[in-house]
Amino acid sequence: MMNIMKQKPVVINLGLEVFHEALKRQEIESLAVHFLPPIASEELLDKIRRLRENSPSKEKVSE
Amino acid sequence: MKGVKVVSGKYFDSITLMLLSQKIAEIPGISEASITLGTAFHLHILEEAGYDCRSLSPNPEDFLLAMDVEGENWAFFEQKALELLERPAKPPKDLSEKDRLYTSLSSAIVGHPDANIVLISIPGRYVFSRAMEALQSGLNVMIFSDHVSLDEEKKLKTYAHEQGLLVMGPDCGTSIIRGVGLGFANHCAPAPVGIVSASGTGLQEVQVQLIRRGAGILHGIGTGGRDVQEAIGGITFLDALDQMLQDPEIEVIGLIGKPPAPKVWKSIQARIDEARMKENPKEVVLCLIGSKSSKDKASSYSCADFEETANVIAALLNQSQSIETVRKDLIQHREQIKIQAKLMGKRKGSLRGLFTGGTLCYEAQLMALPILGVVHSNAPVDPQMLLEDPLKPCGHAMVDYGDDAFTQGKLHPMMDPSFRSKMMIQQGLDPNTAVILFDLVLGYGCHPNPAESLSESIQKVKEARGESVHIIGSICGVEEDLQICSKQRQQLESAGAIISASNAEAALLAASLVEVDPL
Repeated sequence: MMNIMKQKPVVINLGLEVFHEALKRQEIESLAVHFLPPIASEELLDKIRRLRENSPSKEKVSE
Repeated sequence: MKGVKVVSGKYFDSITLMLLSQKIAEIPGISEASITLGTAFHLHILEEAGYDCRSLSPNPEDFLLAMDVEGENWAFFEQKALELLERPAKPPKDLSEKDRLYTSLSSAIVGHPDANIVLISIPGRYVFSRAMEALQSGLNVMIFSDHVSLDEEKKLKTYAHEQGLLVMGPDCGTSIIRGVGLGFANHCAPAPVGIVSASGTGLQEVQVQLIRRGAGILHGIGTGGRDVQEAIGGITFLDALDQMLQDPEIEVIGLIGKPPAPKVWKSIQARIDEARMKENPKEVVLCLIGSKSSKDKASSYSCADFEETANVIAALLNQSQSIETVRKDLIQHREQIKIQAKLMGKRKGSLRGLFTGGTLCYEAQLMALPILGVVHSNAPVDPQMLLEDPLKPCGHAMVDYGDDAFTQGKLHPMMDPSFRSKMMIQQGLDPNTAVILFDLVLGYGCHPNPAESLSESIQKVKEARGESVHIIGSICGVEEDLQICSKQRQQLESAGAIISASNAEAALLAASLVEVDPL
């Protein structure tokens, strides 16, 4: 079990950059992910994800 | 000339929307501009502001470009505004390798194996798959976004629980982990206190009140307001409580939120009772705001508002005063506030509350109700007091401008205070308004100077209405916040507002300033 309260946060920030900047101000490691909505539908992405999970390479699907 | 254009096939996050609105408004000849999502509620807001939207039928994912321009050549300004919308996003600033912007969550997870939390603030319909991807990669998740379905929330939290992870949210505004604020968060001052909170601004208010009393918070786990409903079963609330009960660094635990579902409450109570049986048990302070049944038990202290909660936690930490004394002092202090109201002079008319914090709005209603009898709201204490149209409050009313309807496709009012400031003028100039009540939330994630536009509005109201209206507020912030609490206070007071020490006190003073007809 990973107890979140035992470790200093190391954050991946997906979305509003203001929260990434706030973490930087607190001297916390934060990575910003620039979000754009997927061109494919969520249903199609799910199908692709399932297909890839079953494939030997297990390549991850990004948005 | 006012006009609205429906813009389709584009995506902007809410900060980009605000910045674009500001850039368009700076074009010479344009006096007002806004870009919002094409929801029915935003159409209603535009119509109330004098824009003719009758012929429009946008999809909720379309954007509404509304502009008030000089002269009749709207098409000329439309072209200028659309050119701005077409400009590609700015390339990332000069970033170090560590700071570089990733373009997908997957690549960020792979590229950063030390990460332990993913903070998500994207449109609700895209949240589930990203949050699940983070959990499946062994990461905790904080979901700031709202508009995530209950079913998706349940699936995420059930999976997280099985993996020993936490999902904070959806609609989780604030969390604090090891003294680090995530989302909207005030400057943190760690102390051996852990809070589990189903309310973001409730957590912030208790934290601020504790810092002002020389204490602070080590952990504040936000759960999202729906977590304690029966459908979710308090999964995150109970997991976070379990972790805090076992945490040797924590001496006092605060539990904050609206009253949980009976089944969830039973589980919380069972854990508190069980922990009480152990050696050196931790003190537990409850603030189930609006609960009619909670009373002190051997295992826990029950508080009615956030200020009382902070007072009790601080007393337990200091062990210098009995809880009874602390509470007696608070009651006496509040009697003084009622006397202060009499000395200031009561006003005939209605109380109007304009809030950015949902639970602060709720707490203010609870403080005002015993004095005023009825207080309408878009987030009411009692469903019978639901405000039909939050743009047209009538009678005693308190509006939460951070409510989902206002924030869909738009920045939260803590980030962009402009709409609430406009409504301050509208409400303040209403001759039926006797007292205005407001909150001002500071900290990370919030606007760099929220008092500026609010003070301008307060000044306009005071110039027009003079002493016929009282304007009372409170600041949820500390001196170390980026906005500097004293500077915010100074601006508001210079404009004519009276600033109370807490949201509860501000609400009590505001309600006491209303002349209530004897029955």
